[in-house]
Amino acid sequence: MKTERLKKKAISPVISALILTATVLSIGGGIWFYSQGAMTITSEDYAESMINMTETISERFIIEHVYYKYVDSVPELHVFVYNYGTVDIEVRAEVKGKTYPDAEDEWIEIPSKVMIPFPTIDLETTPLSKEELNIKIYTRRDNNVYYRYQVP
Amino acid sequence: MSIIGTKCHKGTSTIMGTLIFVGIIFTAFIPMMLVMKQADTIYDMRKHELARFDEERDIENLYVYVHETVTNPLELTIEVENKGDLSAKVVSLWINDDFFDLNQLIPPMTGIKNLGSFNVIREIGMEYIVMVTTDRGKIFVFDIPITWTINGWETPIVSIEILIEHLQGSGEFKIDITGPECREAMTQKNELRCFTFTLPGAYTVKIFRGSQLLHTETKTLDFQNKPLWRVFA
Repeated sequence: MKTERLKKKAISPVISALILTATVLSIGGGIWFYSQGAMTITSEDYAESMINMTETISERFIIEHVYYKYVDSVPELHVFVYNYGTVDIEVRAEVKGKTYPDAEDEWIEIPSKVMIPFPTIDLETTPLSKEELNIKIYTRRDNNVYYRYQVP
Repeated sequence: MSIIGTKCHKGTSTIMGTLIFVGIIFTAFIPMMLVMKQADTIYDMRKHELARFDEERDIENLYVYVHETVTNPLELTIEVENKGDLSAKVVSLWINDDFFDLNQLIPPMTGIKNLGSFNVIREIGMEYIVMVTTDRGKIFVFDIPITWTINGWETPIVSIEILIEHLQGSGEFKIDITGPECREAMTQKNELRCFTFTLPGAYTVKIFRGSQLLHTETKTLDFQNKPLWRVFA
């Protein structure tokens, strides 16, 4: 009886081995492909964030000169920004709580090693003589510089 | 028999599982770590480069001199002297709100270099401030405002700046300035001292250590051409 049972089960170890192998291969292969994809995405994201961080810390710029004059009775502020860093930057300005250019999604691009006149800032109210204007220039990467200008 | 067979199958699965695990380590995990490490290395390198760049910017030291042009008294001659240890490139010049684009390399320790003669819109009584910008983003300003008058370019004061760098000995040095106005002061090495005078004329600077005279120089200062005299001893 026992011998007969053993004889009947003779094929099952092979099948079980095949099933076990197939299971290990399919699960293992699945994990392999998944982990490869996940780790590729993770490493790419990490590298990209590091590149962004590198560009952020590489930004170097100054407000080189500021002057103020009336054009057709409108007070205009002229701001000159020099990008002395190695990466191109995009900037906006903030004067007396108002940001420029007027369109919120508009940024002024300044290539590396270039000084540009910021588009003329039309002040809404005429500043008083000797009034101090705090000019803030900030970049898309959230770096900023300040300049204190005294109206003549 | 069946016991040996089961062990054998378990062994095969274990080996395959291990191979897959090792495969994941070598084809996914290690490359990911390498990419991350490389990104970190690039970031650190850039950080060091920027720190060096900022340090170079800090030690940039240009002196700006302004006086009327001898051949054309309407214009201003701008000169610079690089007193730093590194070459500096002057990229822009501002005379009040007038901009001049420049591209001049100023090597260190090569004396005064002429940037040129510049014509600006002149208004009687207006003070003109001159500043230059280097490619490292540092701005240097001429210390004394220069005014356009009916007599030409003038400065309200004459001044003498004294820096003791090379004289032997340590401790305090005595500065003795004689001329239309006189001054006496004590100073130390590498300490910049500035003296201003309202009277132009011939001034003599003497530097003593104790009672020993170490250095003496004489120069005539006037409002037009030589309002600022820098003495390096």
